[in-house]
Amino acid sequence: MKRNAKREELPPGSEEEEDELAELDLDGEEADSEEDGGEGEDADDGGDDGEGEEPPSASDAGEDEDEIEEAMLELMAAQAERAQAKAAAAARGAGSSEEEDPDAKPQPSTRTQGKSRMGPGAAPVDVGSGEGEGAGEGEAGDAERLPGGSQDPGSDSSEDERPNRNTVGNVPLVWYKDEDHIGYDIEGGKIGKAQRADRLQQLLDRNDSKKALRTIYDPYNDEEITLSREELAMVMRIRKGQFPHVEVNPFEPYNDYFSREREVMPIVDRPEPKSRFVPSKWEEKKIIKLVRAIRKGWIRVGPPKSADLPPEEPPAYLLWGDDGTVEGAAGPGGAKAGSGLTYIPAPKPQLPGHADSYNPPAEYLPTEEERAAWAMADPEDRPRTLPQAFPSLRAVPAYADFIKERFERCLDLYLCPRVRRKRLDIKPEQLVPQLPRPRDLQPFPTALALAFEGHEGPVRGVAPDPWAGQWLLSGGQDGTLRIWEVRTGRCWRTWQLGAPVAAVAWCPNPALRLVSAAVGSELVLLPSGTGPAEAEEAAEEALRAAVGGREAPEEGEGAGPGPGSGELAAWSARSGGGVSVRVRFPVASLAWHGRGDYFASVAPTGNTQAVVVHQLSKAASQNPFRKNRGRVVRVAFHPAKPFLFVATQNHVRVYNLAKQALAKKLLGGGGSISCLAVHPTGDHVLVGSDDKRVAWYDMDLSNKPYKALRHHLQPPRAVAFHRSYPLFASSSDDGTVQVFHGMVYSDLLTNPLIVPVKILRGGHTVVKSAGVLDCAFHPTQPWIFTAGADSKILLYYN
Amino acid sequence: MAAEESQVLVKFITKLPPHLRVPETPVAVPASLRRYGLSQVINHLLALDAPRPFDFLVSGQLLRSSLEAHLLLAGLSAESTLEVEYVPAVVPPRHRSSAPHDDWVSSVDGSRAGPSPSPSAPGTGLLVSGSYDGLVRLWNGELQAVASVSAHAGGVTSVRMLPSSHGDLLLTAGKDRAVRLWRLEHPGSKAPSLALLASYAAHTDSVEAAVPSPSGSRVASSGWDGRVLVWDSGRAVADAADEAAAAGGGGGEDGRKKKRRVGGGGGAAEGGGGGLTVSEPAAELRGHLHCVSCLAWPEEGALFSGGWDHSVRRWDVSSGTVADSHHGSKAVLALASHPAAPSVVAFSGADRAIRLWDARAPPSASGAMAVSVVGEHPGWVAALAWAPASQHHLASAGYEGAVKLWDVRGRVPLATLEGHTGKALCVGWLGGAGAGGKKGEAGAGAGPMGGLGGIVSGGADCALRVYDREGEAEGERNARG
Repeated sequence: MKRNAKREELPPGSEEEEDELAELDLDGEEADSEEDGGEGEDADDGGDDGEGEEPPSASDAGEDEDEIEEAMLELMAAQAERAQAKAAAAARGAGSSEEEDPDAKPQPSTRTQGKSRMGPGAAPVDVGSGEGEGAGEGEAGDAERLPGGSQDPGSDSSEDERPNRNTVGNVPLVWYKDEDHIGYDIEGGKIGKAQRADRLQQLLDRNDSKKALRTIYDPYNDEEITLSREELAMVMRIRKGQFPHVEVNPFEPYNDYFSREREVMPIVDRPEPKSRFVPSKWEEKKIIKLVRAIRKGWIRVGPPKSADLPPEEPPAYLLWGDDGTVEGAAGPGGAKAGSGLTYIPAPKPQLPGHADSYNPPAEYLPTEEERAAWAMADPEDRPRTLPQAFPSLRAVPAYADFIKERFERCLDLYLCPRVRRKRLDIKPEQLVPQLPRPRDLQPFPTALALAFEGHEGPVRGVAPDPWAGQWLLSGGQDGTLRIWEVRTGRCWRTWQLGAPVAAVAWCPNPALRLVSAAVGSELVLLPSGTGPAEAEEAAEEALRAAVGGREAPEEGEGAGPGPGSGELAAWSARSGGGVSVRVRFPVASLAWHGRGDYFASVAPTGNTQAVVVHQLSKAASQNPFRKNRGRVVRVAFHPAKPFLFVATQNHVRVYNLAKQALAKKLLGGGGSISCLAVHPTGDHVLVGSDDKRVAWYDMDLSNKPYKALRHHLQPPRAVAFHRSYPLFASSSDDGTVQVFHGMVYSDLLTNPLIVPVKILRGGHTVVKSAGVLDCAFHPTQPWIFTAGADSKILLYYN
Repeated sequence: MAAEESQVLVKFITKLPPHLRVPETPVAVPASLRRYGLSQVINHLLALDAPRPFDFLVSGQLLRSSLEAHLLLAGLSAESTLEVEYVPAVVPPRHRSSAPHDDWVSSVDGSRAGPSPSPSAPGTGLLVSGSYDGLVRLWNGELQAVASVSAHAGGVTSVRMLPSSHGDLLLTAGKDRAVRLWRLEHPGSKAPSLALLASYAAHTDSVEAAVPSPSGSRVASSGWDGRVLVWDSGRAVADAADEAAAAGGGGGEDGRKKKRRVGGGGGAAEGGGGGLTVSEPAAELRGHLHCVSCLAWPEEGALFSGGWDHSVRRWDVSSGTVADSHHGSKAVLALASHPAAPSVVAFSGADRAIRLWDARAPPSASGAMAVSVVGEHPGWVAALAWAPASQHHLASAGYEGAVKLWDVRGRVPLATLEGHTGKALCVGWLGGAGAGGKKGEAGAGAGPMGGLGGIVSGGADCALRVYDREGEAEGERNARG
């Protein structure tokens, strides 16, 4: 009967389901009986029903109903499963139901209770109480099996349909266990417990009633609720994880109204609003704020830099550390003061000892004699304080010398500030300019090659022939003028001039091959005899023309007539050949113009007639300066321009002969000028002076020396430039010749490079404090000729 | 022999005649042996009655230290067999005699002088010397002046005999810018004389060097005007001069070039004749900047010149162009070359070192390797002369007064002949190239130690000194012990 009834209730199924149901039922009964045993104890513990075992309590009844309901739900679930796999129906259906029974049972009941029947707050409370107390109530048991029942309270809309009768709220129903009522209705009236049928009756009812399977007991309201078929179906769907309502289709075709594809007929065809194109004003303001914050460092971007990190505090302050480490801010005591000054900390005073105690031990206390001695001693010498005993710290008087010491301390700070002086760490070699190594500047004369020996006194002047350097002209104190063969050092020709020769020079005109010498107050021009026959003839002709046919005087060599009263110089033929030009004053030096027609003689003692310029072709002499400012020492012609360099003792004046004006004045140094040389380009001048200085003047740069070379120990006697190599040299009374590399660059921006490369010493001996009297470079080779006071002429070669 | 003394396996080879050859089986000799020890070994192997000194060449280098040191220096293995070539050692010549001059001896030529046949006998043939007094002097074998002629005013700078194939012709150059060709009259007689054949006058400044070509048909001269001039010379010019002299004042007009008869301008001293004046050179070699101080003409087509522009140039004479040049850093004053090695030239000058330039070596391969240093003088080197009989030997005259004898395969002088009290200005070998070669061959039969011949040098002490192999026996004795 029961089964038939059930069968009617159930949705149409297959024949096999009947058997299943039967089995299920049996299983359910078994489970029931088991549970009954378990729960009966609970019920006994929890309290007395007063009805003993048999009359089913409310909870028991509820439980039974639950079981039925569960069974039914199980059945339905199994039914769904069957539909999928019919083949293994029997064995699996039994197995699964057996196993899943305890697990599957609670879920449907709690769901229905918690959601549909009970108030929103009831389930959570049940959970708490049920678990905590282990209450024997059926619903407590239900709640116990509901882990997440409180998660969705009140989501069910059926609450409104079935308002709660009871108003006790979310309290354990156990409280009303012993009462007659289950709570209060909305008017405050007690709701009495319904008289419930005993269990047997209930069982019978259940078996009889069709609705019994879907009737559940609501203990809160103490009423029985029968689920409608729709509600059951809804429960079934939820259990399967489906939407409760059939009409909800979760997989409706999605209509993508707003896609990125541009529709032909869009739903919305308004133009894009302007705001989409305008940068947001508020974002901009926000960005400005951020930027400002970043700039001011309020916000840091990126990983923190080490400098931004707070300095690491030492784990402990080194109290007794040395304060002397001033360098760097890292040291504990070496941080810079606020003023930025670095101080050397004062030495630390000694730590106070026992003697400094206010109550030192007796052995530290001075005796009477010591005290007297202390008082007698000078305050400077004696120790500052004498140990003194006071009974207590209170009795210690104020420090008597406080003001005085503070004042002295201030005096110390004021008069002797301990400021660290910054020591410049400059090595001496750093101050020396970086010059190229001399061996990179070769060739320059380095070694002695030849000695030209023959003069019997100091050699006053040397001059190699300016064309090829085959011959060397020299004149000496012994009154001889000699021509030497450079290659072998052989004296090739000698003239006796009768008086000491002060200076010698070749006439630069290659057609004449004349030599000239200054002998006393006479200038001697002689044909050298080194050139071809035509040159000899030309020289003879020129000299004959110069003297105008005047015959040489008969009385003796070199004794031509002096200049007349109105004349500057007297030209006459020499008895030994050549021409003699007599001036009024003894001539110290002479210089030829590059063309070989003009030559100038210098007589330092002849005030206004110190400089006389002679012209060979016209046999004329003229005085270019009406007066000379100072004593003229040397003159030199500019190699290309019509300039005349006149060296007086203090200045070198450069006169423009064409304009007859002073072009430049080079300022000398401290000493009086003694020698002069003009660079082959004419733009640089070497001046040697008595203050042992050789000065290089760059005419384009300044009227002060570009470089002053003080390497000689004695005043220089002569300076010379090489004609083609970047060399110059100075010879001095200290017996040495110093050779320099003097490179002049063609661009005007680079200053000349001057490097001392060689000191030629040891060749000449100093005789009567006269060393090397003259020096001259070979015209084509990097060789230098030096004329010494020791009557030797030396040739140094590279 | 000590066990720790290392030994070297040596195989002696030689180019000497068979009776001086030792068997070519390797011999183990102590590595510490030097030249003298090896020479003793060879003498022992040859079992010679009169010991002879030998020199040894290891891989082309003259052995001048112990074998051990030489191997170490040359990086050769001491374990493999070492091939050592032995050659007769050059015995330093000894001073035989000297002839005083009135002035510095600037140049000397000994190519017509023969060596003395025996140590006691005087030399044979004629020596020619030029001096700063302008005289060219002829000296006989006893170094007696047999003739002198005033050749160049201002000094003679160069005297050179032309090859004997052209007769006895002498080429001189001087400070008077002239180059002159002379004929030696009666050279074998007691009183030979010099007759002027021709004057080459185109230089505008002192002539420093004049050399004949190997064939003698041309000469080259150079000087302070920086030009190298090539002239026709030899028998053709001599004949032309004779013709002109015979024609009298008729004027000799040669077909090839203009020659002008000088009308007796030379003066009485000029050998009694004026001779031709040639004013147009056959060729001019242009390129030197400054003075061309020295010339060497080892091969008919190749002329070397060195000058004060620090360069040594090899000229292709036929085209007049520079075939090769080497630029150093010092003025070149002396050159020497040997006909057997016409591309190698030794040069020196305002420089302590004597350098050897092999023009065959490509300059691009390694310019430094093409020039090697042979030896050194303490001062400048005034003259170099290559031994006519040997292409390995060189004599040099230094300003310190010594004449040094070099083997170009070693850097240590074979001999230093000191004797000049002033600068040594010129050096020459006795015996010409052809004569030396013949003599060498002849001497090889008579005695392989025939050697190089004597050396003659002149200097600033106004002396002409002749060094001969007079002291060979003594030198040998020295070498032995």
